[in-house]
Amino acid sequence: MKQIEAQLKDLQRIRPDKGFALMCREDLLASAVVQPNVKIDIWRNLGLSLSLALTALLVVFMTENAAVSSYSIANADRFAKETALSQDQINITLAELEYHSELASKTSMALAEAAAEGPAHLNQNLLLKEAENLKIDSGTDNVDDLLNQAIF
Amino acid sequence: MLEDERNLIIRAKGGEAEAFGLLYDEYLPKIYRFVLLKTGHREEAEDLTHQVFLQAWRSIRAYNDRGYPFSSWLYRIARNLTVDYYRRFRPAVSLADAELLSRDDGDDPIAKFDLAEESTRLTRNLQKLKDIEQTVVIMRFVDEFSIKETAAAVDKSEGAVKLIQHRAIQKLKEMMAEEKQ
Repeated sequence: MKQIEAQLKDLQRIRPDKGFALMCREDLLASAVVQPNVKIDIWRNLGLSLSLALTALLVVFMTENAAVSSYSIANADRFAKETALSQDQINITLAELEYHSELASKTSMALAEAAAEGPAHLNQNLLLKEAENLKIDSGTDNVDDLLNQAIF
Repeated sequence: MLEDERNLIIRAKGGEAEAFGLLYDEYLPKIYRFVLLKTGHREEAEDLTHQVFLQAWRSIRAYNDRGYPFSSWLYRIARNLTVDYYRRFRPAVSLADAELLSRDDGDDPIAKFDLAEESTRLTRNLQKLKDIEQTVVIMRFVDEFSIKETAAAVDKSEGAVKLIQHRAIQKLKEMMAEEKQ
């Protein structure tokens, strides 16, 4: 057994030819280049692509929604303001119409009276009488007092 | 083992050819011997050895040092390539190469012839063993690897390697004894 083991150990003397060793070395190091460890991991790449696509979709969706929301809010506010303004304008117009309607009827009545009475219309007594008919609450004395205070 | 083998491997993994060249210098004789003892043909052994190192250089990034020696990784490549070679070509075993041993010791032609003849008989019988037995015997007794390293190269447990080793040596002993008779 030991003899065989010794004989086997003796085979260590087997050496490659020096010429072969040199040529093989040169060829190996000159021609063979370590391949870059570029493993195309399909699942990983697919996962990454999907993640990116979903993120992009999410961003687009959120941006769109934000735009729509801000647009809607701005529009609602504007609409409310415009409605209030329109309401005010309508009220003003109605008040103006009412005023002009009353003014027209009174002017018409005054003109008719003036035409009917002529210069008598300028009679102070008549005017005072009309004023009394209109039930104006301030008396003549009071007016005079106020005028005096204002003048003096 | 090279003292800074780990560093050389790291550098070679980074693509540094000279680092791999140093690993080549260290392991070439062993791998060549291993392949030659399996094939029995010098030229085929040279071709296969070249392929072993070429494959190792191209796939060195795949090697991970997890208590798994670099030498075992190389022997595993060598073994796979040799087995594959035999599957495809299955050449006739002829190890009559007296030039198998490049010996420089002494000029006595008779002594040289006797030693060569003895070695030729041994290697011829070695080739009659199963592939795994050949691998274990070469790694353990020719290249003197540990049980652990050999086990890693053949992908067997240490206990299994011991058993294979014992059985292989027994077979060799019997074959050698039969030839002498």
